[in-house]
Amino acid sequence: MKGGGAVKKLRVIFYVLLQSLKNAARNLFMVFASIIVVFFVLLVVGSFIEAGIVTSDIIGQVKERPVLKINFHYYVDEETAQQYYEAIAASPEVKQATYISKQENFENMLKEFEDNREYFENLDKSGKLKYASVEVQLNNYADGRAFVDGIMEDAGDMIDSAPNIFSVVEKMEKAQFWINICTIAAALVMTALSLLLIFNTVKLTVVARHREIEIMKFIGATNTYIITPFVIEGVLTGLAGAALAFLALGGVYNGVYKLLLSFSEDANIVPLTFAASGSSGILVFYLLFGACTGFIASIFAARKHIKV
Amino acid sequence: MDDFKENETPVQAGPEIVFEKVTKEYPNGVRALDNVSFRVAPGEFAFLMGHSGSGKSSLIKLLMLEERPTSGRITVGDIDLGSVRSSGVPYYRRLVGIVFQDFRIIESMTVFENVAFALEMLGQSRKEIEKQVLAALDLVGLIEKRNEKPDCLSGGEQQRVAIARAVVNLPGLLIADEPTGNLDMENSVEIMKILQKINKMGATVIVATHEREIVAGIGQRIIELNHGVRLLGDE
Ligand SMILES: Nc1ncnc2c1ncn2[C@@H]1O[C@H](COP(=O)(O)OP(=O)(O)OP(=O)(O)O)[C@@H](O)[C@H]1O
Ligand SMILES: [Mg+2]
Repeated sequence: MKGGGAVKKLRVIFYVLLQSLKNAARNLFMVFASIIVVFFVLLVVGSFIEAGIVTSDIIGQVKERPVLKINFHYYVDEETAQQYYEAIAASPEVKQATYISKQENFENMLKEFEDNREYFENLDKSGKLKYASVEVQLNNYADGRAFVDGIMEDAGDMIDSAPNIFSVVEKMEKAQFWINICTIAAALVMTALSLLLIFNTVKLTVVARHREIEIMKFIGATNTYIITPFVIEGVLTGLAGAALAFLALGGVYNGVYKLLLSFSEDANIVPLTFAASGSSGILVFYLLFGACTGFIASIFAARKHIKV
Repeated sequence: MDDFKENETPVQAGPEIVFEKVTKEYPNGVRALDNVSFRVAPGEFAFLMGHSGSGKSSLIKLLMLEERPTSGRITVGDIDLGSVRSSGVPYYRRLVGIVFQDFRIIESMTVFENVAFALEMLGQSRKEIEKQVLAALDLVGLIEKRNEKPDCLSGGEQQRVAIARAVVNLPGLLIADEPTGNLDMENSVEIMKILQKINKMGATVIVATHEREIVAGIGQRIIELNHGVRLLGDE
């Protein structure tokens, strides 16, 4: 026999690859179903992971710049408000405080509602739209909650509202815990689901080809040679689902990103872009997940039915 | 096709086959072979005879390493089958061609592909594969039908495809388990002629059958089994 060992190996690998594609083509429906399942699995798990990453990033940003705004009632005059501002600015927790006069606040509001400027200008005659504010940045995030509570106790009758991010962060931290639980639960359930579906897909192929497998055995095919096309079929199925899921995750993320951006203007928080949110890690995770589930499920399907 | 002519001994030289006190007992307690000893000379054509259930297929399974003997020793050429580990079984089987009563060819493949199938795993080039497959198909007289699917073939033709597949890799030993069991007399004779031809090229051939008419026309070496016990046969 002619031909180097390496060339022969390559030919065999090529033939085996071809066989796995043929297998997949014959079993298109189930392969498709498996790809869809892997796709959904990874999309759901990936969304949870991204939600976790984005949440903790936002929490981090907030903690770095603990800010709140104190809005006085419209009937509190500027002099009183300014006195109170000076008291706040002097307190040790405060890093920086800015006074915003009634007129400044009003201009800002008009800017925001540019289209209805006249309406607001008319409404202003009552004077109820003009109020003074103090913007406060604290030294430490940890002081935030107590600081807000203290202010409300001292001067609650003067203050209309004190929108602050601290209560939001508390909620987000609670959410983070549940996001983590959901990520793990989803990952477990969904992994089992992917394994099951790929297992069944490959099993169908194996059953459909059991005559060929039997023939291959008595003409001297090795177990590896017999099993490999099925394993490749499984791995390719997993990888296809993973690749599609990554593309979809990117799409969903960018949609949500725009949404977050529009919400977060007030707090001056910029959500992470998809690329910055650890997406390359997720891509690696997806491909590994797809390949591994495909590999494990198909090995079991093939082993069980080929009875080596 | 030139390199597959008769008398040119293209097959590997047929091995000697020796059974020494071979017993095969299945897990359910059935003793399919009981202390069977015989020898088939290199390049010999031997019939394995006996009524249904006498242990012919069991003996062939031992030769194919599908089953292992409970006791005793089997050698094929210089291979002691007891020393072949399960990882070595596929490589051993490449030295043996086998044909079954029910043909066992793949419906979805053409005649050519059915035969080429056995060579793909060896990593041979397209050209080599084509050359060998055509030679094997020529041997069984099916060159013209190489692009047909099995469902267009008669039983005899399907069995010829199976024989071509069994010998395409030029094995020294050809084993056939009731190769004519599903065929009429005319086709049976045709199949036996092909097996004899392969034997003449140098291969050791073992054919299990219970059809005395088949054997009568050939008058070769006969190993007769009766309830797993060897009855007669010249040593
Ligand atoms: N895998 C097995 N497990 C248990 N018993 C078996 C097995 N294979 C064969 N036997 C038994 O061994 C005995 C011999 O069977 P075998 O198939 O070797 O006979 P045979 O001569 O080939 O018969 P036939 O002419 O019908 O093909 C029978 O009694 C059969 O029931
Ligand atoms: Mg039998």
